[in-house]
Amino acid sequence: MSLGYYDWLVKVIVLGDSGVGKTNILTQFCDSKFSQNYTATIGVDFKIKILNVQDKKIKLQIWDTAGQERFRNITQTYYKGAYGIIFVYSLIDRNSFNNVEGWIKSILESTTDEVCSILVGNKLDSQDRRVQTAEGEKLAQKYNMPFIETSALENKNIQDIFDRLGQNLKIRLENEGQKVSNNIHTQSGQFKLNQEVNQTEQPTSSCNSC
Amino acid sequence: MAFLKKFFGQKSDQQSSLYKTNLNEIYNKSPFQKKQITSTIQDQKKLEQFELVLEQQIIDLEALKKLTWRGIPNEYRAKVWKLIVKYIPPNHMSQTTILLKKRQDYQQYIKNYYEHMNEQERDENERKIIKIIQNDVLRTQPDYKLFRDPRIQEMFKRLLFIWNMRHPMSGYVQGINDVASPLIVVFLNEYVPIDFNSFDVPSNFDKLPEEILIDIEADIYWCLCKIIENIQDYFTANQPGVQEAYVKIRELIKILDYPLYQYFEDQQIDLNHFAFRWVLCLLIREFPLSLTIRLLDTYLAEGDEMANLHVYTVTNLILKCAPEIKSKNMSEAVIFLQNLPTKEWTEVQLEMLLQEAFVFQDHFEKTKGHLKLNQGNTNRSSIL
Repeated sequence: MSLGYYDWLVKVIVLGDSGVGKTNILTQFCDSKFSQNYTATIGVDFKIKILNVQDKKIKLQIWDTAGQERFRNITQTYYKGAYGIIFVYSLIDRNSFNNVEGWIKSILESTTDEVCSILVGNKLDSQDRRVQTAEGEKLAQKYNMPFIETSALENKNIQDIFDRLGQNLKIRLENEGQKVSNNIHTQSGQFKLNQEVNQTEQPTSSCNSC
Repeated sequence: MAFLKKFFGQKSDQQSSLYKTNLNEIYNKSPFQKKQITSTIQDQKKLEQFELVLEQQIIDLEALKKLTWRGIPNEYRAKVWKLIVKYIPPNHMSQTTILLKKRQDYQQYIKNYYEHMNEQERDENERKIIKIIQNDVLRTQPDYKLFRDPRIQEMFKRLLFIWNMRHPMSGYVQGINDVASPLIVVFLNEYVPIDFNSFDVPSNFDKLPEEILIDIEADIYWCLCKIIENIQDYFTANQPGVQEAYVKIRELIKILDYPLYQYFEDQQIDLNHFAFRWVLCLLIREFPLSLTIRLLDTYLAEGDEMANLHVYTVTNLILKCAPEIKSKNMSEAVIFLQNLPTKEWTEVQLEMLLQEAFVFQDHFEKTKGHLKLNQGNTNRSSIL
């Protein structure tokens, strides 16, 4: 599998209660698939996707985490070095929305780095909405992050999550000037993990722009 | 160590067999007849061996475990699992009494924890957990129709919730549903024959009386309790059992395939990246359902040592991935490890995996001091 050329390698994590559709969002985004039957994520799942943001390519290393609280000790170990965080709740599950602040706080407590975050209300396709758009907007404003409502089932606004996150990531990465130079790509387009990339994975400066 | 070297001399052949699955399947299908005759003779012999042990007045559990290690014929599996997990006693005389009592106890649990409680009476935690269970039941074993049947799902949900209420130390943890799923098939099969290839809903299933289904549910519940007793620490806070398994797996990889260990360190690949689910769910997510049932035959035959063999099996599976992943970068390797080709495996491949794991277990558990010595020397900067 050749992963091709890219400008930056960035770690992204997806957080939220069990059953809100984290895996479905990612599978729709990365593999253009949807299934009602994804089993619960145990521990973490991992996906790769290259995102085009204007003239730049950002390779996203996405960690899909288990939602059940009992796995928090595992999922928390993935917070470190994350540049992007996608907080997901379900529009038809009030509790999952109420718990979003808990997820945000768990990030604030465990890392001093500022990260590019986005708040996602999923299951827009359902008729049984329990959380209003204005409530999501208000919460996103409080924590100064973009907000979007999506349907993984209908592939609605899924790409937008990553486009909006990508724009903020790009601003941040350009500010940091940590561009990974082209010469670390081998001729076959294969990529080797080296120190420069490790730097990208473990941000040293904070992000003021997102 | 000489025999281990010999063992690893053959390793690459065995490892490459991991990826020849499709060919194997084709071979199994074309010259079918001859193969079927031999396997029928073997099956017949196996049946007779089990019959011989099971018809004794007091069943010799050790003899039964020995047979069980190599797989149980479908006809006897439910009975044998009940015996070897010590749900029913080896003495025929008292089996019916015990079974009756256990099933009555379970019916009482249904009344106490489930039926006499409406949504409002449940506290917030209970409501939260029942929602998680409900959601998990809907998506357990997604490839098989049997698990989409509403009666099965209702039964499954109730027994997991009762398990949650009766085990406050850990409560229901995602993954317990996976561990329970083979039990559903095996204990249903005692009353309604199930096709062990398709795992469809049996055609006469709607005629199965409710009271029988509740007895089946009780059997599943009690055997689930017995199995989880052996791996309880996987599910309690911070999963100490999983962490303990990791320590051992790291150490074994270091001894058995140092370049692989080094590769994991270089690429910063942590066991959590892929093996958490393998350990927690007893590899049940990694194999097709028919093979996980076969896997449990061997695991259950180990009794208290089940978790120990499981560690060696997981280790062996990682070792088998070595040739495939060593040429990959971190991302590619993790994606491979999270989506193993084991869903296409045959029973022969699984049995090989288990037998090799047993060889390791036998070797290292006999020389425990040696393993400990190594741990003392090397536990510093391990990323794996």
